[in-house]
Amino acid sequence: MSTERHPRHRLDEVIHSPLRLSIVSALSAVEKAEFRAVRDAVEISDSLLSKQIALLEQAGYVAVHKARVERRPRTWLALTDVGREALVAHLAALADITQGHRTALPAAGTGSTETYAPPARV
Amino acid sequence: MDVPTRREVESTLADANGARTTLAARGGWLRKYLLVFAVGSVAVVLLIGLGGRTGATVATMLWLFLVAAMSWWGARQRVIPRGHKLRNLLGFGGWGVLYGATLLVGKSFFPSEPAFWVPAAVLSAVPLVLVAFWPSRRSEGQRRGGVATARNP
Repeated sequence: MSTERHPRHRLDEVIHSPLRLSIVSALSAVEKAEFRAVRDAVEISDSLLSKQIALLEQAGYVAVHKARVERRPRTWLALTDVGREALVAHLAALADITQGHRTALPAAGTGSTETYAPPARV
Repeated sequence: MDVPTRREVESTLADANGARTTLAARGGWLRKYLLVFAVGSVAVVLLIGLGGRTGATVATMLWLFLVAAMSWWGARQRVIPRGHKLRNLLGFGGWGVLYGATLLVGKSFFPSEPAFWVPAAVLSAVPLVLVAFWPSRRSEGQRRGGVATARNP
């Protein structure tokens, strides 16, 4: 089997980070959400979320829109079509990795490999 | 890129699912918003149809208060659920058609007749109730739990 065919090559480098995957997944469930709502859902600090959003915005995965409600500034975040496609592709790659019975995955905390049985929810 | 371990994938997907579920749940306000208008519509139609001049005045004031209060409440929400524009358009569009037809037919042919106005009042709320429960709790739950599938991002 060619190395290039392995699904790990289809993992998206931007949302491979668990934190950014959580942000993108959360935003995929809604049309848009205010910054603080995403912060609370993902359970991270303002500054960390700001950094992650900057990376996602740079990649074109998240659109940032600022508005005022009752004179208070609000930052709205929305998943773009490009971001949604990236999420679909990334999840598909993860599913292929975890469901590929022929794929030997490294066992956690060891250098050894195990034949992988897909988890129920993947 | 390194291949993630089984434990890493499971943990990552569980976290992503949790964040998705939490944020999606905060979009549930739209259902309440639409249901409040549905109940308000029943009251307004009954007041207009069976309450005479006073009823019509009270109905107008009630509806204006409802629109102002719900607009204020809606603007303060921090999560906008998917499809909220379409749901509002279909719900209030359908309501407008039924409400207009009810007043036209009721005032012309069935003035102060409960046999017409009571079912008509309930009927006027149907579009709002339908879009309030669309998508259904079940399909919403499937979506919420669906982060781990590529088909349901």
